Amino acid sequence: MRKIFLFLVFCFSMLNGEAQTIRVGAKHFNEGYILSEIISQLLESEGYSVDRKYNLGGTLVCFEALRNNAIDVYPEYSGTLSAEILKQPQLSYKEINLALQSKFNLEIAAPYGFNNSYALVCLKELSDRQNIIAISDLKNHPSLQIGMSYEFLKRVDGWENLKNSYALPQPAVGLEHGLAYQALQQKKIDITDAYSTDGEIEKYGLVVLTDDQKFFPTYQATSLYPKNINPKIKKILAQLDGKISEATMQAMNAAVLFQKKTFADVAKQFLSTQLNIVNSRNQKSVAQDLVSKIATHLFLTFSALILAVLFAVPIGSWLYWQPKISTPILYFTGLLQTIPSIALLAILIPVFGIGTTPAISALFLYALLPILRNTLTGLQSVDPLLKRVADGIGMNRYQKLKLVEFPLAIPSILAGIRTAAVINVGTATLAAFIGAGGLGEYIVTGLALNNTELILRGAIPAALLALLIELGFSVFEKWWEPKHLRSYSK
Amino acid sequence: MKIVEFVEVNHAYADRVVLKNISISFPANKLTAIIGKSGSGKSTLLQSVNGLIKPISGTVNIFGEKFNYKQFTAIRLRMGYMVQGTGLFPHLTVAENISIADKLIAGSISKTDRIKELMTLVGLPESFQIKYPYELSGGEQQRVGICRALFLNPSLLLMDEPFGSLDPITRFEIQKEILRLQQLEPRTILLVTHDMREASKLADYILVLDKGEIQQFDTSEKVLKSPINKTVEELINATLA
Repeated sequence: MRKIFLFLVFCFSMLNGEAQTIRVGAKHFNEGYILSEIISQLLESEGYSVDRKYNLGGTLVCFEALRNNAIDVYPEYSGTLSAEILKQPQLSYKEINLALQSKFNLEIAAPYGFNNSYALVCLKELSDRQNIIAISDLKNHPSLQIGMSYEFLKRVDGWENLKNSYALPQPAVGLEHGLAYQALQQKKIDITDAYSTDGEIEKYGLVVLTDDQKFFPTYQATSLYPKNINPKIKKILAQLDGKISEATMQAMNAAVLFQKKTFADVAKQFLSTQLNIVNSRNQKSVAQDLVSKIATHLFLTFSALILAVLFAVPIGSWLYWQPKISTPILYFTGLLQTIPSIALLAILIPVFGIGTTPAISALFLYALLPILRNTLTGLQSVDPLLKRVADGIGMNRYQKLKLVEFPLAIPSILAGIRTAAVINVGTATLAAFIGAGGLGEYIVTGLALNNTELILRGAIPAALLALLIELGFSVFEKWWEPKHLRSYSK
Repeated sequence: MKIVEFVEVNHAYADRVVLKNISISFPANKLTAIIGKSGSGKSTLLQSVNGLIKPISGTVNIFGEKFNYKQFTAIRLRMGYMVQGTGLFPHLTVAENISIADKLIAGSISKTDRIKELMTLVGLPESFQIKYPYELSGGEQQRVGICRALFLNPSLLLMDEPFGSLDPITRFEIQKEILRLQQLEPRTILLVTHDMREASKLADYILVLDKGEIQQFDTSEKVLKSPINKTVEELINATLA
């Protein structure tokens, strides 16, 4: 037990102990990943080590992570900051920076150079046929099908206000942004929202409708970080000021989406051609990357499992003596089990921030029920005659538990631990959503990019791990469980 | 000193009376069979001796003192306890089963010597020490159960239908074993049984219970020769006729 504890301490110190580590966050879409990777490699080229906390989901998660000191920097857009965070869409770039400093103690660098505006797009053929060039032209075509990304439907600078501002007659349906272009091609929808730097615009020859009423604010991309960040880092990040044009960004987006280059490669190429920076740090190979992600995945799974065992087995034994409260407590842990994993992770963010701690906490909560329940039922189902004999011999309840009931309940407890382990391996893939890493990173990134190969790179090893753990446990149980108990349980 | 004494003891489950105004003192160093039909209260009576059941009224005196339910473990360690089907712990070896009480007390006896001594006493080979209960026959298990009950050399032994699940031949052998041990080192034994044949063979005294009431309590000969009422007679006829 001591060894396990020391191992855990060692692992935690590995995770947190490294000095001069900059935690870089990323917004959960193609361009977000590329920009974050550029920042990461730039910092690495200056000798910093970087902890990549990608896959943080949308704007709010990233912003909260930065405010709560769970990350140090991430790329954000001025229009998003003014509309979504400050709720004052009309602010200028300078005013945004001042407001961030006074309200949140955060600061933005100078713009990278490109404006990734929201835009409405349609097929060229439709634009030509119906003579639709500007957003206001949509008013004359009430039968057009409008399909919008979920985030755009909800944003202040999104569909509702746009529709009111232009007095558009059409209703809109929501769909995943990654699927919108496909839906457009297949003419399931006529109009969708897009980012003006999306690589698809050029690839599919789409027409960007003119924002003739100037509804959209400008979305200057830039680095967002705390006001008191190390000035050296500020200086390093300033190298990106004005260096990324709209064309460059579009090309980088397209390189990932259509030439299937990795974010790391695209970022590396950008730094070497535009800034003449060669990142000497070796990029991890696919195999190395996979191994490190599996290691993280197993670390998350088993830390949570060990914690759950240390917690649930004693509590389960204690509950065995408290039959009155054991039922409500089992109900409560059962209730925890029914909270969807993603919701539970979200609930834990305000408490623990993002990263390893909330992920392990959530996995810990999921592992509690099977272990608790099996400990309790294991103890309850020990032959009553043996319990009576133990009493009759003169054991007190601690001796009875230790010498008789607990040893006989071990097979049931082990079965509970096995169930918990298998649940945890699967659920741990969701840890990627809050930046805890693991195999889920492939899946989350793959989903964001609509990249099946990437999804499978995470999903297949995760499924194999679950099978291996199941197998490993059954071997362990056979080895652990002495012969007499096997014959006893028959 | 009266080893086991009941004074006006009553007990009931819900509204079913199982012990009705029981007052009795069991003779020391003798084997008393407590006999009756199912539901006669015989098991309840026995479990009131070691405090597994606390009667709703009346006094139980053990070793000359009123039973102290706050210190039941200390009292129970002074009596041996055997149940039907031996109740051996399946996860412990023969030696561990026999010496389980050693784990409950600050050990003053030599554990290994006592295990050997007891196993020799009941005729179990020494090689059985490392075996598990499931590897033993019913009779061998029963002998291990006897060793366990005698480990701390108690002056009082409680036996709750210990031979109920044995085949007739094995039962016969174990009964002989009990008689031999009792001749060797007499102790106060309370044996619950529903079998008058067993009672007549083993017991010095017989206590007949019916519906929670004492019917007859006397030496075996007297009970068998002159049953006091119809209930006792029926019980004798049922197994001995």
